[in-house]
Amino acid sequence: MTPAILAIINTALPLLITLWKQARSADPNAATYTDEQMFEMLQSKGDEIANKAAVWLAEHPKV
Amino acid sequence: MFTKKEGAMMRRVGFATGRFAALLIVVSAAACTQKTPPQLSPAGAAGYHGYRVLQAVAAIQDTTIMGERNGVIPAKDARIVVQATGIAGKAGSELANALRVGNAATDAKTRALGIIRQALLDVPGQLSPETQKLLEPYFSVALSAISILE
Repeated sequence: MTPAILAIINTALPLLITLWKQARSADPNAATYTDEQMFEMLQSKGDEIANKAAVWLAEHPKV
Repeated sequence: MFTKKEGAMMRRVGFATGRFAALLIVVSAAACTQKTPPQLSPAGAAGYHGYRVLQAVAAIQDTTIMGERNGVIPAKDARIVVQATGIAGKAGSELANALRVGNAATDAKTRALGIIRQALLDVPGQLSPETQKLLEPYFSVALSAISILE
């Protein structure tokens, strides 16, 4: 029984540790988008900022 | 050939080996189903970083608008900052278009980044020391995000 457990521990444990480390090292903030989606997000964010600025400036005329 | 005890031990070893094989199958299946992010092209990666720059710009804009509304940031300072964020936002849209076109648009990309950078660099010096102190961390984040792209 003991050799079997040892064999399992010796083989499975390093494997599990490697997989665990691999999962931990993956960047959770990594881009999960396609190029086109990225461009679309960039463009819409830019437009949103520009529009918000224009609206605010229109509401707050220079005195 | 084998004693009873030996036979029992061999059965247990066989059972343990079977369980180990099952474990291996489960672990391999889990490893295979793990979602890996698709690779972005260099232009896509630039878009990703550009988006992060604009997120920082949006934070500057929101903080300024809120600060002005609450009387923390003078209207004069807010106007300067909001104008600059508007310019940066427009340049961000241009950057998206430039990246869409591809490698041929390197000049357009550099120009758009230059506009964003300049818009943000010029601002802190024109603000009152209080506003400057308040917004400084936001500008640092935005400028360091741009430096990744340049």
